Amino acid sequence: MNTYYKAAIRNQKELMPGIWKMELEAPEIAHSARPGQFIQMYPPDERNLLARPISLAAIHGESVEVVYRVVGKGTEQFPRLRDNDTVQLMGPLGDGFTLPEAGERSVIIGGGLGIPPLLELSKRIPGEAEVFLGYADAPFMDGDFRGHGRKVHVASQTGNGGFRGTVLELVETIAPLADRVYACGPRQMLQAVAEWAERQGIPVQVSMEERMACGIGACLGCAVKIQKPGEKDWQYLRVCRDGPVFSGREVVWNG
Amino acid sequence: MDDRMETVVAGVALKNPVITASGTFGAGREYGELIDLDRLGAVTVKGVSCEPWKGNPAPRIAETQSGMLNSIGLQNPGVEHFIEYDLPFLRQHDTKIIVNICGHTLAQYCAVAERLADCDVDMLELNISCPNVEEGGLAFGTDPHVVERVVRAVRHYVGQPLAVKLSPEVADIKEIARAAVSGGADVLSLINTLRGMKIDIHRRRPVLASKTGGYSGPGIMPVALRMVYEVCRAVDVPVIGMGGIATFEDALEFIMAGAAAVAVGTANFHNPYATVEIIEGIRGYMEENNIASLDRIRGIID
Repeated sequence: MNTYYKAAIRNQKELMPGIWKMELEAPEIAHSARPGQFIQMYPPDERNLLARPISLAAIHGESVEVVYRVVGKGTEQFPRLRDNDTVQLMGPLGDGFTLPEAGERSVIIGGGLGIPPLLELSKRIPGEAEVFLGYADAPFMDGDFRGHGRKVHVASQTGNGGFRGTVLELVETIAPLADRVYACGPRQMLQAVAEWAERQGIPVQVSMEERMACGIGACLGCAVKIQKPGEKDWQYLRVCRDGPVFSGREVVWNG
Repeated sequence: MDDRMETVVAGVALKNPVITASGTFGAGREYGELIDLDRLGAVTVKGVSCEPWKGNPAPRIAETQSGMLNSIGLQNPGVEHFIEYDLPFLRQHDTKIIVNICGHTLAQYCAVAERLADCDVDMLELNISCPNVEEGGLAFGTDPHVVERVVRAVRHYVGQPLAVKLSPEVADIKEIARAAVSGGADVLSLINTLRGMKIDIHRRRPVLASKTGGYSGPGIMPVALRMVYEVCRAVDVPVIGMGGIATFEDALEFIMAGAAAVAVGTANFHNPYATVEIIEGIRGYMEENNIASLDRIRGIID
């Protein structure tokens, strides 16, 4: 059930330079949210008209956690918010991940700011799941995945934290057995993961990102090219409403 | 029911003068999960064409200071889908239905108008001002002779009151307005977006995949208000004023400039309750100032 209201902020802290985590007292969102869904966060300065879509990193009983990167005039306002300050929210939005069937083995692949949206999924997967995380340099949040007992593999461009290279190169090196793949990260990474999963014949769910306006499916701003099985042609679907999670094999990656 | 806010536009009785602007509100389904659509004077549906249109590549949205750019390209599933799927949904609600129609060619505009002529729709809004399609749209809306010809041709097929939505990108808005009225427009709605651009200096390329898009939001309101004021004085048909309206004060400015009704667009993205808050705000202003009917303040600016 989508709601629009102001939530109090708790425990905001900088995880890495420019990457922040905050907890939001948002019982209405927490009660109904599923892993892979997102919220719209409105910058306090009203000159920024559009909300910032941010995935839920964790869903607790009465609150949710988000992790975001400061990238511009909107997101740079959020770190200034202190405990008990409020922020305007809308959510939970979009369609989340579909959890695996009992007994299925999952592989979770995240890159950069695509990692936080996979955390709650990892917690809720009932069976075996192996986690592969890719970073530009120093890792973050890898401990959160280990914290609920997952085996975590880390790759980075600099070799910081273990393997030097892309997260997919690490996946290919370890060659985990999987019945399902879940991925979130930069588009290029998602495409590579989707193609790898396709070669292995494993169904893959990818969480996509696009610039949004309304966040609820009315404005058609956040278009992604999707070709459904059995359909002759692709169509533009809405990341905010039809996604953000899509089947990797239905995304038209090139063009 | 308090009828002080009732507003009749070309014979269509709206319970209040607040309408949603085309393209910002879909067909009401999504916003209907947050607000009560029965509260609205009317819903203007996103542009409908004969056949489904795919729309433009992403990114389609860019934020600017106090505004935004869009280049959706009138993506829509076509008039048959609208009639089958959206119209019955909207009809469950106690609000008027205005359908924005678009086409690449004059024949396509006529065909969609003709298809809707017998449908349970309260008004059509002819979109000859969209900046995001290569054919039709703005190409039909900037020359007064073309405007008059297009409106006259489409008028022939229309079964409801016809609004014509005007572009601000013209030398003289009054001249275009007169041309639309002389072609048979019952209502004018203005303004559509202005063409704008935003460049990402880090990637050194435009933010929008189509490079340019339609600029909307509070930043355009003074331009919109001036044009509504001018048009209201130049023609005798009712005007639906729009362009950056975000608050009830904004809406009242348009009404005092002469608008019969107002449409709220981009503000919905910032605040999904904007329309309802504007309706409440106008009601509060009328009560405080003892205004029995909006006609008492409509067009009071000389």
